[in-house]
Amino acid sequence: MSGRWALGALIAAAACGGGGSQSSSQNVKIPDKTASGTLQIWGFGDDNVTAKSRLDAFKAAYPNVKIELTPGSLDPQKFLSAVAAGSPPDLVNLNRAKLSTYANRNALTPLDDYFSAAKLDTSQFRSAAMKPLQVNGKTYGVPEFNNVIVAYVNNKALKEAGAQLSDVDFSNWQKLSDLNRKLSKVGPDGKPQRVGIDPKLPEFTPLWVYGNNGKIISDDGKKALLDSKQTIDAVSYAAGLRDGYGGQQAYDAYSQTWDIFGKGNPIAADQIGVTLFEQWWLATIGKVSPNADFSIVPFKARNGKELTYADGNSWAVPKGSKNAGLATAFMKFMTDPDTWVLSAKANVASLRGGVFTGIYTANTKADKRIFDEVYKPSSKASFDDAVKVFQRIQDEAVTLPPSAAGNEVVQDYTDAVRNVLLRRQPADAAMRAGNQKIQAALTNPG
Amino acid sequence: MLSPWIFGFLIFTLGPMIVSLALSFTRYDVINPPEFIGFKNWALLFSDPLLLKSLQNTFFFAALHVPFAIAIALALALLLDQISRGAGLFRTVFYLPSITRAVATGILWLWLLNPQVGIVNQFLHLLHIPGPGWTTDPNWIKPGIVLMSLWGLGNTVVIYFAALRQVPNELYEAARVDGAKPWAQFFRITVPMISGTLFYTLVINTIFALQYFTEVYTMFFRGQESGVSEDALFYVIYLFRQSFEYFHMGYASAMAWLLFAIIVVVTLVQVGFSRKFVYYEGAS
Repeated sequence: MSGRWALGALIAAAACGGGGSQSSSQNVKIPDKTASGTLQIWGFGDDNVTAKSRLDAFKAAYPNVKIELTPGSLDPQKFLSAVAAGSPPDLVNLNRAKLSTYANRNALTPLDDYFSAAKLDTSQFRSAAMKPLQVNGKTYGVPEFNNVIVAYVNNKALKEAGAQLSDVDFSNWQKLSDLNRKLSKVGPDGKPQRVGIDPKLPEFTPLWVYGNNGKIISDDGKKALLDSKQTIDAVSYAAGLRDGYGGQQAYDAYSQTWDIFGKGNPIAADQIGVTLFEQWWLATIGKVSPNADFSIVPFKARNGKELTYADGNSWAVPKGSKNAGLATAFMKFMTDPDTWVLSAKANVASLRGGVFTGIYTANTKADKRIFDEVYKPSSKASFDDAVKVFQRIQDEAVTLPPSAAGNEVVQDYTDAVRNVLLRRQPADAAMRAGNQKIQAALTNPG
Repeated sequence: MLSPWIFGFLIFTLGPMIVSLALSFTRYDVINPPEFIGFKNWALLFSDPLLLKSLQNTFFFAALHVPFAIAIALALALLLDQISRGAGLFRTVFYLPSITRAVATGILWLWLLNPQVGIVNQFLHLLHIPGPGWTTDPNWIKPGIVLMSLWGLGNTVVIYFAALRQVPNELYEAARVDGAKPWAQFFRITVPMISGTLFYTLVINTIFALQYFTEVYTMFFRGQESGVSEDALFYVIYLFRQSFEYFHMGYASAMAWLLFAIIVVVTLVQVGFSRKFVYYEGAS
């Protein structure tokens, strides 16, 4: 009899348990626009038009919600301490590449149930943007911005070297090396006067590696793959481009003087022939050098296919957030196509003689509407052609898979590539050493 | 009277020290409960090549910074002691860099030391000396950091200046009567009379050098991907990386205790030497 009771109790418990998990998404409540309360947000400021216009729109839609912002990059020390103390903010905005490190340590709330309750369609976001937010089968964030890498070509330098835009071909390493020689200028004192082709190592190592069919870590984020032949060849080749203008130390000394954000930026000042750079730089050039003569060329993998690497930010809800429902409503609102369109219009209205080059939101629907409804070609070929390239390659992006040791992976491949650039180690030895460190970090992330 | 101080010391210094000692025997990432792992973190201290490199960098820096800081600050204090007109202005000028924010100092010196356009190499060029790659050459990065660290000597100058003012004038007058030259006066009167202050600044500057962080972090480690590898990786920067970038709080705690032990040993050695060289008025 007691056995039957025990069995019955077990079945009842199982049923309750099942019901609990089933109802967990039903129990999640997403407040409507009459909601009131305070939303504490860390890692997000309203010091730019794109952020402020969206924030103002949210405040207008949710008039009884008070927003408290802590601007600047999310401070990991402060954030983890707050989570550990049980008093985290309601919502954080952080770099996507860092999210898995926190998610693997249970510092963030899985959001699948909240997204279901809020009817937030995650399929509208670009897959490369969603990938770093999906950790161990759960979704931990909503992406915003899809920042891709392209090559900026200084047309003046290209003409001077007697080269064509078609010579900027990252799939053909021999051709690229020839172009690097033609574009590079070194003074009689041995100091570079123009960098021919800047491979942007060690920052953009993953792009070169993926372009040569290699990987930094496996897709499941558990195995280091830095010592593969493809990776070694890619790093060895890209690092060698620096020899065309005096080597790494000469490059460092020269590049430390560049004014990336000003009128004397390296394109306008003829300090660079070709450089890989993030797409956001176009907006900067559009503001400070609207008459700059440049072209945008996509990076190409060795097989000739266009390729880029994407990063950006994401919204995430800390573990212990007291307002996860309202935070979800906020995330949904801020990444909604309507809000992005409004923000794009605010950007256009705020331009003072600059060029609007679009907003790349990581949301496919929002991007389409921005370019259908707001964007207008500037009649400046450099910018208009660039925008076409950006739109074309948004979905050709790769990104590092999420792992428990995201920061260490980046630091370890950076150190390894740096050793190659400084000629301290040959590429194969440096990559093997880096691979061991990455594997140790992935195996034992704690 | 002492109870607030004792209370503060127990809560904000001794307490965290004991906790960090306990954490050094655990794997701990702030969020999840600490997991006891015995002496693994301590064993790792002796097999981590980057830790060894960061220690070497830090000792190299301290070995150059401390003697230069003491010598230059003393020279400036002696100059200040000699001048009467405009002394207040010069004292202010020497002290100003000490109150400049460390982050601003780091950014400023990244420009001053730039091998291609920096003012330091332009000055060397005027003297027909080829300027080195202060911020790019692995062999010159640390000497460049030492140069920067000497920018903020104002505190030490003020301390020496106050000490020099305490030396009785009669001693110099008697020495002059006996025909002592300025150098002899300096080594036989000034140095012994301010030796207590010199010893104090030796200890303080050594501890400062072993914990040097903000300026170097600002110069070379603001962007993780563009860091200058391990050439500027000082011990506290590596500790910061282990704790707040990798969340290895247990290992970082062991590192903090190792640094504490090093500072204690170095200070004890200095105290040992001080018994021979430091003159205390009224001491037996």
